[in-house]
Amino acid sequence: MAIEFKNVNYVYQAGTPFANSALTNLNFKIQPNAYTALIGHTGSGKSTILQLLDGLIKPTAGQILFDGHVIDNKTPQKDLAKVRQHVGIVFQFPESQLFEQTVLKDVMFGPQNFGKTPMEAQKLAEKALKLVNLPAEYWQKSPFDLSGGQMRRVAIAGVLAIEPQILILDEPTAGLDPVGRKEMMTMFAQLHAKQNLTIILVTHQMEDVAEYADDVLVMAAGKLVKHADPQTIFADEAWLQEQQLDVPHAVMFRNKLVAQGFDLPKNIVNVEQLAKSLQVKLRGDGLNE
Amino acid sequence: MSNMIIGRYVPGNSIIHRLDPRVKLILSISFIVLIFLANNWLGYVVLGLFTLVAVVSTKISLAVYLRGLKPVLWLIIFTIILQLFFSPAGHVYLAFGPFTVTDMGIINACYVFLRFVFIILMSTVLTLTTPPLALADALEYMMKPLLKIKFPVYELSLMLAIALRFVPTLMDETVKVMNAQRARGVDFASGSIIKRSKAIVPILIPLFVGSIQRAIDLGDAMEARGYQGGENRTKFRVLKWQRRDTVAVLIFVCVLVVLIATRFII
Repeated sequence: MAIEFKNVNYVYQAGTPFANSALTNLNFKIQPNAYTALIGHTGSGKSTILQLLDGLIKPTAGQILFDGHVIDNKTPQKDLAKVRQHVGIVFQFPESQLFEQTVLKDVMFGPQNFGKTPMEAQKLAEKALKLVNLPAEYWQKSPFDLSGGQMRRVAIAGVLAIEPQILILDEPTAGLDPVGRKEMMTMFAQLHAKQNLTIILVTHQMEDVAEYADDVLVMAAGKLVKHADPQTIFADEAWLQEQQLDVPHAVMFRNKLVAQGFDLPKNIVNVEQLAKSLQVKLRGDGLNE
Repeated sequence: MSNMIIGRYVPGNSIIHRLDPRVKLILSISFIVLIFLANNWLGYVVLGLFTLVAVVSTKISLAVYLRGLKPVLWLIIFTIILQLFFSPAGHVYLAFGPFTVTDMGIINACYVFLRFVFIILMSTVLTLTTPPLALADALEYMMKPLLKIKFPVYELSLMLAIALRFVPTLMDETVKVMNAQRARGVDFASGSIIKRSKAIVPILIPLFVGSIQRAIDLGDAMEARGYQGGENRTKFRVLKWQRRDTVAVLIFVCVLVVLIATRFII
């Protein structure tokens, strides 16, 4: 499912003294089955884009082409609801959206809203709970009795249960411990690889961008300032710092090695690539001696 | 919610902005009482001029005030219609069944309309130019005499200050939870009343749970910083009475005198 933004503008509280322009002239296209990372410092308009992508708000001006359907200022709410069925969004700290008596019921809530029968919803819920790796002994418990990390899993399962084709993740690992973080990111990567899910990830973790994304959108002050693959984005450390962003540690390390006279390729963005090229380099040097 | 003007603060640096919040609060309350003193057109002209001067001197665009009137428009129209059609006294212009339109009815309807508009404009002046925390300070100061009858003034004003501080936070939280549930297929905008009120549950429960958690965290954080109760604390924001506050009170007293005079002139 492709999404295209055409000259999209968004103004909060348009026409009031509190009017506040969040996005100006946004143009980009997200290819089906792409893993896109959306980066930019706080207040650059990332969250507004997410809400537009999920049809929670309508653009003030411009169009969003959603798999051929046009969404603009005049699109009725009913059509937006159809968009939401195909887009799942995991908001920041999603555990604050839990409300049902049991974990299972909460996960079933989404599918049931989109017209699934309780039987179907339960199947989808069980599938989603297995995906997020929550043991079955928790399924009949109250979500408020779980630990923070487990609550997060339940909330994410609640989104996965609606079987979206596009999954939007707004800092899904914020506040998790390193193990939980790794587990969750791996799970999303697997969903992307195995179920052809289109993923849009908002994050401040450049490591995650380098590791998983194949397309990066850089936002600054409501504008799209760069749209490229991670290699191109991370090639210019000085420019990123101007945007109050950073390069991943692997790139930082590579740049330091290059400054010390090492000759390493430019397209290194993660640890694995760094290790490989170092291996090649050291072996090659060894052979030369 | 974004259309609500009443209760919002617009930062600025006008004369009204710089007035002591106590003065603004007391004068606004007295103004509401004052309005009922006017019983003829001259009185309403005086009040209208005073309101206009207050509104203009806030240096906030008139459109903002008009938008503040919008939510109560229906209430105003309803009251006017009641006054217009159900005043039996005075010269009758029109009569059909229980409905009568009389000259007294028309005049009363105009007065009620003006009263509504003045009260709303003045309270909007108060809230647009006074930060909520300053209002809480003013209230605390004014409740001080109640300490003599063992009324928990400090506790109440602390609760008020905390409540005011968390209004925007809770609003953000509400929008966030609503969005999250909408993304999961909840429809708040259509369906029967029963269906719509059922759709509130997935918002209310997370909000309650979040508020309780926040209250626990805030209580712990306050205790960790040595809070032990309201008695014997010093204040960071000290309210200072200045000359412009005296001037404001004097102007108000003048209006009061003129208004009482109008009752005898006509």
